[in-house]
Amino acid sequence: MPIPFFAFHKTKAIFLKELTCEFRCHYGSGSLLMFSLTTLAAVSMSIGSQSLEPEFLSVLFWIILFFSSMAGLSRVFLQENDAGTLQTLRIYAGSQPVFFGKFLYNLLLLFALTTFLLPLFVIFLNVSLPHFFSLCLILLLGDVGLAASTTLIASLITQAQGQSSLFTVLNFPIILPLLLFCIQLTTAAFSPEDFVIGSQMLFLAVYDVIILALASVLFDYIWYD
Amino acid sequence: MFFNVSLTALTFGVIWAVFYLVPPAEGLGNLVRIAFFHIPTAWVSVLAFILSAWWSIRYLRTRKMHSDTLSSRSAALGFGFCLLATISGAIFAKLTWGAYWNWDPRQITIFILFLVYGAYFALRSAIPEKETRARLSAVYSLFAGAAMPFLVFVIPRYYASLHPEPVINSGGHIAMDPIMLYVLLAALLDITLIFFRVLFQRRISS
Repeated sequence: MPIPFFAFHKTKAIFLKELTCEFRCHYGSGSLLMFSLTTLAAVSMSIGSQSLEPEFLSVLFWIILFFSSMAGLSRVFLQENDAGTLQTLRIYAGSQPVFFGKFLYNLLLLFALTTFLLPLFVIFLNVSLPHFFSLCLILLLGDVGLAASTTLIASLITQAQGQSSLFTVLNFPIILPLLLFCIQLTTAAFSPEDFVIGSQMLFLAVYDVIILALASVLFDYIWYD
Repeated sequence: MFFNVSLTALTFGVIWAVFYLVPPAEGLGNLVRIAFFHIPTAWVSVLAFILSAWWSIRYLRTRKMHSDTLSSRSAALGFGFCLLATISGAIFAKLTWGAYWNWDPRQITIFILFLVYGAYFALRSAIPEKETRARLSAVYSLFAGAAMPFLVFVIPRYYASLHPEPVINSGGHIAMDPIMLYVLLAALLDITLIFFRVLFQRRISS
């Protein structure tokens, strides 16, 4: 029987399964949000009431976001591996539904993290947001790239030793170009001058598409032994 | 045997040419001689990266351990050449710009290349099972390869660079003394041949 390339109902089922697990034990979102809150509090406390330049603010924001996501997003596959349910998942669905189900779930977690972090960031560090919608677009594009990379790397490390430290190490070089562009764009979005959606935004989008497409293709080789 | 002898002769010939044949460059003086070491090693470290990705594709297609061996060996050699290119570049930077390291776009690129190689070897050492290791490291090598075009072509456009214009520049013309150009081409050939000589040094068990 030929397997259809996209089985949307399976993608949806896997996504819903992840959500159900999340509602039952709050393991992923809990650690993710607490990690970002702790980091933000540490940064804010040590800075005190000084106001920072947009360059520093955007760097801080993305560093908090990056390391928080490193703390929580490897869970999608590691938890399956620990619970011994990876084989069942293999029987249930092919590679693409699994990949996109997990990708959507990671993306949702990242959206939750971003919507949690941004208001707190504004409150704690006294940031003004002159270009709110452009900033949302930047965050959206950054989150998509992060989610795509973390999903593939999370599945890569399930068979390796020293998983959680390896996760950050493997993700960093792939995320770094994305991070550099996001930081530059966020700096522009935090500063009061006019914000122009230029070629950098386009490159960000293209990079997202490339990472996502490549991750989807390469996931086949991880999923089928 | 013949190949080894001619390669050694070529290497000594190139070294002689770099020190005695090449005229001191305008503005740089004798420092220009570093370039004949720096450019070929930088070129080979990128070449090794591309070849490593190529053999990763071969491995995923054919599942022959031979391809995985070549891929990891190419990555290991690329790492070594990358180190040589970085050190020679940093020395050149210190002598001309006044600092060993200042996060010039080229330095960002080479640094990320280091991180990729480091992550690749960390992944390989963390997987005990041979075939799994080959498969997963091939996947990672290809995934990281996707970031490379962005690093090499996109990032340098957005940061001001002190790095001299690459020899193969966007204008398509070569602004170089002819003797320098021939010596540079010979040096490129020499280092590339050394790379392939070490890469295929023994019959690889498959």
